[in-house]
Amino acid sequence: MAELSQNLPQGDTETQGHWSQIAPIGILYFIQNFIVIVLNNVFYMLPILFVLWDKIKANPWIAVLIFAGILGLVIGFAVLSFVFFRYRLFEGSVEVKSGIIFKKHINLPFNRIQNVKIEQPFYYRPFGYASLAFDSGGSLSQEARLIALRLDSAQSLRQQISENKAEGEITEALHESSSDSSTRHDEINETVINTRSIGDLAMHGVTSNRVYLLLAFVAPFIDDIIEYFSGKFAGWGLNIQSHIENDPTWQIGLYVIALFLFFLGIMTVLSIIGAIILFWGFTLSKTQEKFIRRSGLINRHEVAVPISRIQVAIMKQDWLDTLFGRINLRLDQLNAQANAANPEALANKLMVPSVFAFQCRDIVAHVFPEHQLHNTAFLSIKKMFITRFVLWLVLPITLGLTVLFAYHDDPNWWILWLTPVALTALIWLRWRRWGFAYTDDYIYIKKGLLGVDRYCIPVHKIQRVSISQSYWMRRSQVASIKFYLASGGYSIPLIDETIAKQLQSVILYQIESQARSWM
Amino acid sequence: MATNTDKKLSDVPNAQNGFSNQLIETVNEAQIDSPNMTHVATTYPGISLMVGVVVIAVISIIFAGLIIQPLFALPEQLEYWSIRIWGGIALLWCLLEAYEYGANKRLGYCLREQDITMFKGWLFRKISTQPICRIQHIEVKQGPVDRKSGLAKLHVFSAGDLTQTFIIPGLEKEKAEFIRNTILHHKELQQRG
Repeated sequence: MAELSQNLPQGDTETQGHWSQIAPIGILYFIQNFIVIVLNNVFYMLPILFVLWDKIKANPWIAVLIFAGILGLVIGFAVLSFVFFRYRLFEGSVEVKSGIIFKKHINLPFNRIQNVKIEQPFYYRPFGYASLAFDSGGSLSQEARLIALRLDSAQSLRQQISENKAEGEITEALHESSSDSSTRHDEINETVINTRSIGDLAMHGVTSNRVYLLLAFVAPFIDDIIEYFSGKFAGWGLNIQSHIENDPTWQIGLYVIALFLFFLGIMTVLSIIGAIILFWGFTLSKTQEKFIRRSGLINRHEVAVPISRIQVAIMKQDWLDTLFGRINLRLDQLNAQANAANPEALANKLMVPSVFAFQCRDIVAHVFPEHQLHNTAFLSIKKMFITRFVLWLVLPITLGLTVLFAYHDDPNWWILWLTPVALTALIWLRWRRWGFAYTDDYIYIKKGLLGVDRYCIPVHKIQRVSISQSYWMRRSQVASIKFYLASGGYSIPLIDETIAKQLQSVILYQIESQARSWM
Repeated sequence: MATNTDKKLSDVPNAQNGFSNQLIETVNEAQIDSPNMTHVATTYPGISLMVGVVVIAVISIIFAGLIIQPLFALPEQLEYWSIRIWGGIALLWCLLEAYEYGANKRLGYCLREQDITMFKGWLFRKISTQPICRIQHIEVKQGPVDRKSGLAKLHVFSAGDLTQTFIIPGLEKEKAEFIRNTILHHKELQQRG
């Protein structure tokens, strides 16, 4: 055992080679997991409940018994899961054995670890424990998680793994570059490069909708809430039916507007609360080769991402953001688009909420030096974009409306004629927002409708390029170009054919002649 | 119909540091729209069309069998509408197959020292280029029809989402294997280990 652990960096020899157990507090984590599983499957249990409903009504203690049974099972499984959970660091990889009936053995080599997350659920925080998750860049099921470690040992473990990985990468890259490795080991020199105040978070809540973060908690009780409020309304003597029948139209209109504003207000407040819960105490700090993001009011998240793994920088602005001059900065890594549907993704992403343009510029400069994302003069795309959508979308709708009015000429329906007009306006707006620019090293894309998203794509990280043309585009010498990165695909539609070709050959030359790593 | 999208593919600047990106395979067939494009197997468009037509025919026969069989009668409304709906779908499907046939006739690739390019489509033409140094792994796959006709599909994977793979169908098996071996012996991939 001793000689096997020699090739690891010196550290806590207890955890190396031997299979070790996690702290007993991990039982709580398992309980939480099982409860989530039970709640997710409540839907399938409803029929059983429905069948048994009468009996339960007659003898309420059956319900108590069922509930106690489920709780007992959950706790039992959690304790067993804890007992069977083993992990070790061995020969340059993390190994985790888990499972009660179905045994699972994960072996994740350090050099395949994409990033390391330290998470502190609220029940860990008083005791100073944390759970450490290793993301392999593949699917979630390949994630290795050490469920309960002391916070300091989790941090030192992360340190150790990243050092070990760095050494491996140096030996791998020896023949490529002769960069001095003396600066490698000052990981501890962590500098905070951005923090967010409550004001910033409130602003973020106003401009971006974070309501769904709360809705996730509230969803099971929505029926009860609605019932409660409709009961209240009846109690206050509001009778909506009679109002609609008796009041003049303008008054009903006012009610509707007032109600709308009321809900908007509630939503905004909820959204602010959601933003504060998620991003409380936000810090973004930088070490020699990593960004570390820490945030969270109830559950604390800590995500460490190697800077070299960042594929693309995205400046997102909703229309309210453009008014206040705020930007949500996102630094996407591997498979960012595929994981977008995952609700937990936001907490794990490298995202900086509601920063000013100059802060955004400075943060991005750490990743992509000499980028010009903030002040690029964008070239517009062809007006064919408008013609295309008018032809395929607005024209059919207009024809449909014409047919409709030919048969059914009702002046009340004339408002429908606004649809094609509004659509055309939106298409024009969308065209206005589209833009692109490029240098030898970076490609910039700008798009949006009411808001604007700006993308900064480093040329040497592109994986593949494709140019596409329809028959009509070929006739007017227009082409669309699309770049595939490890984080997803990004396209520029309808630009000059010669520009597309030039762009393609510049990109291919940059990738193929330099052989720079994209990771 | 000469597209000029392809014309400049090969004149990448190559003055510095001995960078070269020449064609690996020589061109031996009629040129439709690219000076450097090699077509896939000439039998492929026909085989692909035949498979499509057979699938439509089999579904239609099963369908007709259901209606004609004497064991039980389908509700009249259902019969009336399902014939029309299936008829519409089959017609559209046939049109798609016809387009696909035309597109497959124009399907080709171009292997150079540093990258592989695929040309596909007819009315909607798409030219994708995959630099060899960004390839993660590569597969030669054969379905049952492919095996009978000695064809193969070449799957090229780069990092990122698995849905965005790069597939060249209808290659002769030896050719597909030649491309795979050429790519595997590329020095960038060798260095990476």
